[in-house]
Amino acid sequence: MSEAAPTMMRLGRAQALAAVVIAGSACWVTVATTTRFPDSAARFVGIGLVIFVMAVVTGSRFAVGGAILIGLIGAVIEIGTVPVQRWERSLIVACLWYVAAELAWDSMERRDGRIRPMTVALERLREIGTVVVVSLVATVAAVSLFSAAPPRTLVVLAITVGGLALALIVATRHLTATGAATGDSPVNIGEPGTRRR
Amino acid sequence: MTRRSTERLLVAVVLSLSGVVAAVALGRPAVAMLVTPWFVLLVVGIMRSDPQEPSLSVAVDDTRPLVGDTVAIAATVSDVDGRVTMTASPLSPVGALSRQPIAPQEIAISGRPETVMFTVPTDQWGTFDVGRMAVEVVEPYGLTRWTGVLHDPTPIRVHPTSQQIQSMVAPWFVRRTTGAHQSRATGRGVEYADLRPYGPGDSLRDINWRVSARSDRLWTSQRHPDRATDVILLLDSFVESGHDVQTMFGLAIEAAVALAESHLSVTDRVGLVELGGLVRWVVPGTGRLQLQRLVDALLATALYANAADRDLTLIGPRAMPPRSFVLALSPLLDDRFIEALVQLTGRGHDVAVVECDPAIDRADERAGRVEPTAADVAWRIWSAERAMLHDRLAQRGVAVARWDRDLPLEVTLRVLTRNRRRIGPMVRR
Repeated sequence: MSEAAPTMMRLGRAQALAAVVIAGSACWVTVATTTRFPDSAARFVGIGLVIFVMAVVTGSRFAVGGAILIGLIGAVIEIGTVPVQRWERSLIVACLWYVAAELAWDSMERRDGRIRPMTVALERLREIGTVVVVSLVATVAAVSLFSAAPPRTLVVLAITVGGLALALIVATRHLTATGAATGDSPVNIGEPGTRRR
Repeated sequence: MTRRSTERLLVAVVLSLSGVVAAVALGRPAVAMLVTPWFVLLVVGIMRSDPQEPSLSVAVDDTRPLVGDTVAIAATVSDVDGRVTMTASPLSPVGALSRQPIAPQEIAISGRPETVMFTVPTDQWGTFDVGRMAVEVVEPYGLTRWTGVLHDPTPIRVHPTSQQIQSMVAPWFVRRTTGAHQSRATGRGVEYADLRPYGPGDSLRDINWRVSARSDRLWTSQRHPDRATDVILLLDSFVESGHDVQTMFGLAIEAAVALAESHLSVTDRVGLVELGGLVRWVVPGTGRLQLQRLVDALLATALYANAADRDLTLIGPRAMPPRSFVLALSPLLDDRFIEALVQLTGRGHDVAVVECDPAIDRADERAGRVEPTAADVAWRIWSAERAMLHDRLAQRGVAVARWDRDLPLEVTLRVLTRNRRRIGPMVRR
């Protein structure tokens, strides 16, 4: 195995730890930021966290998704029981679970023994950041516009929703087009097809 | 390239659908927001999804390294948008290029060609194609994965480390060209041969003044001239049952390279005949270029199972000049090869065999035991059969020297020289 492989393994373990911490934070936000949290919901959240940790340790990619589903079921039960909906709380929980899942999957890939240069790590970080930023912006914009639009005028509401969708698409296109990986690789040794002597 | 969905796609679809269904069922928009990132991931991932048809070009810094050297393989991938993971595992019929697994390498590519460098230690001689790479392309945002094998033929020939041989096996027959083997004829040379009376045309330098002073006439010294010869390395590539044949075959090839180097260094013409599953040959020649030809042919050699009749009639006449010195490298396990050796002596060639013996010595295992086991009896029978084979070949004028893995080739060649001297008169008879 290459000399870089042990470093990759160490980084993978650190990333797995970060994923577990962020998943724990999602659970904490779910449970601690509400006035009344049902026991059944708490059980789901706890089981989801345990399964998440086990999935990260064993390297089971699909189990990560299952753990998130179980954790979110707890949040759904909680939302169904409280009279007032807090959309920002749901959004934060969703983003935390998403980031935790991505970190867990990346840590599994690192622990496979593959060598991942910094450019790839930054590219992955950019992709995760794009998803989180687009989610936040889209949700905030949607909630703001829905609350600002006159509720009784169906035409205005339709225009607002259409504009929001268009803005979301344009923003996404812009982000994904300009954020493409560019630059020279540090290992580039020449043009394709040439032979180094 | 084959397209497959990743775990991200499945998880994102399941979570998005579940969130929407739950939000509609409960009438709570906040539930839908719990899956917003997964929905966004689906949207942006599908927007960036494109068919991937990557192309690969491979370059190496050294196409002819020695065993133990490190080879830098530069794999350039283009026409890709996403993360590319490349895995190299060069193999040859003899084994893997490196004992250590080569770690897969990842790189982010967005249209422009990018290069990944593999630094591979070479642990095995042979001809390897390092241009075959298993490639996995994960599209941006990781929803789909393309897998396949790309191939840019890039052969490298890893040469075995050269064994320095001090002593060579002297041939019985030599050519007329100058070389390093002592001829039995007399003429100009270094080694003293005989005396004869001085005659017209003799050089004054050849007069033996010490002998001439004790007689009433002049005497001249005769000497053995140094001549070159034609050496044919006869390689046995028949597959035979028995353990560790692969290793012994590898040792035979390493020995063949060492013998070729040593004989070419003293202006002998060296050729190669591979007799076995395939019948191939390299016509004898001299010089560095011939060494490259021989090494290339040896590195491309492999064991092939073949039950067909293989004999010397398949070999072209230029591959074995008359009265050439045939140095066979064989475990002497296949009757077809042994028959070929006998035929060669019948044709007037000078034949010697380095027996690459796959058997192990059971003396250590027998130590301390009085009653022989079945394995001991089998070993005795095997040893007796081998001794009979050696005697049968010796009667035909073929000397044999055993070479096992623990013995330096130098020692084996000395034993072979001694055996040849012992049975030499029978050849000349």
